[in-house]
Amino acid sequence: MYCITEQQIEYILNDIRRNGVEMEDLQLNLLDHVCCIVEQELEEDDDFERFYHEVIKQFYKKELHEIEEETINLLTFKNYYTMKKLMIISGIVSATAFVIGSFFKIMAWQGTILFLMVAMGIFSFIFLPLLVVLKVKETDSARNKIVLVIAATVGVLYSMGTLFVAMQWHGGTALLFATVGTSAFLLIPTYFFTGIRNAETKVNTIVTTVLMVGATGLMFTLVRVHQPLPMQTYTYLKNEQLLRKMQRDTGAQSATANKVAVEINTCCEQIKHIILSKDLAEVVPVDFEQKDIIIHERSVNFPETSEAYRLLAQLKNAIDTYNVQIGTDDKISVSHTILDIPHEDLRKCTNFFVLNSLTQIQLSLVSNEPHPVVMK
Amino acid sequence: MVFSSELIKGTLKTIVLKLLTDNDKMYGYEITQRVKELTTDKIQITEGALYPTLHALENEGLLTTETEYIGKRVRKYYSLSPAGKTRTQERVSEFADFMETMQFLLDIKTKLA
Repeated sequence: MYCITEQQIEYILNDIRRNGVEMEDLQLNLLDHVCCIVEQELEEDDDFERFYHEVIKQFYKKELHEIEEETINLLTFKNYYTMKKLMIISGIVSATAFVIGSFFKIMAWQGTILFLMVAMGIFSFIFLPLLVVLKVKETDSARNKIVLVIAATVGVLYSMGTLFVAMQWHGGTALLFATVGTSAFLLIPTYFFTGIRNAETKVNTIVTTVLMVGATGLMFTLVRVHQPLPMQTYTYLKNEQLLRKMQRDTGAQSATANKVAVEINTCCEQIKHIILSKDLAEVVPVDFEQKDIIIHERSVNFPETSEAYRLLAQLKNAIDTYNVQIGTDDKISVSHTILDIPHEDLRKCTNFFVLNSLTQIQLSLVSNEPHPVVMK
Repeated sequence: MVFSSELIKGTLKTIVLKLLTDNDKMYGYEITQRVKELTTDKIQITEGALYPTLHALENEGLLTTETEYIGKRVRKYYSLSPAGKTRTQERVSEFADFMETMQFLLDIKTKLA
């Protein structure tokens, strides 16, 4: 039996490491195995290095780290079924959430957003990544793997972009732009030049490429290239400015003249404050013209328990009382204002509609006050 | 005649498990030698197939390991876990069934008949 030296053991271990075997467990297994062969088969006066290199060659077909790759493959294969199961479950959950969310949207029920967010979140961050991991494992060519990864990235960008735009979060348009850009300049060229080389997939590649160009073009048509001016904000703020000017002019009289009028004004201001504090986190400053204030259109939500809902009811009562006291010509008309909307339809109203309604009520109130100029 | 690696690949786990049922604990080199010996060199397990299989079986919880230091190197002994023992019986009888089916499918006349 050949007696192997410590230097030789060191030599073998270093060679195994140098050839790309990184798992320590595997290194030690292979080292012991080689040592056993050397001890059993090498004669005392044979050349150790030459013998070692001949032995190690029998361990692999092309390179030694094949063994490690095969080990990793077998180890992850165990998770393969779990991943596949999870992928299918996440796919079903996200599809179901989409269907339920869409139904809620048609019925204008509450919870639509929650369902759609869950659907898009699971689709983008569980389903698509798992699909890529599993498909990449099944695909041999590196080019196809790249195409898969890019395609999934476009998918995630698209669904996130849609979600951001639907929720009116910042960056929605940028995400959709990124989707169109990645699709047009990365996905389509890579896909096309990968598939066109192969005679078998040539026709399919051309057809699918045309479809992808079409889809990307349609998406680009929908993306707002230029942001529109915030005209709704301008209109509201100008009305508000006008109201304040008129209130200032008639200020002295209205403060004391009518308790009901004061109540109407207070209610309107409070409701507006509730809405604006969500949009701007502050009240509209007097010098708003110098600042870049943009209010984004959104639906308001006044559940029956909310302060705003209570204030609306109080406002309605106050206006009824006011209209009884005042002459026929000066009555405040509430038709086509927020007070005219049935309770179940309140959530269909936008913030601008509510804000403008209230300002208009206040304007008609202040226009009933005796104007100082007219008095003179 | 040496059997092709393709044939051996599907049965390697069963071979390893069965060997470990008959021997309390074995290390890699020992397993390859024992298989060679038992099959009079007809089945030669390559290192490239054996070690990935051993790691996979260990990961599945079918094998337990213990290490022994021999001078500067470490020898890893494998033995069956309780789960491995049940699994071995399942795999062996599964393979017996498989052989019967293959005999029928490929119309192989047994020597006795």
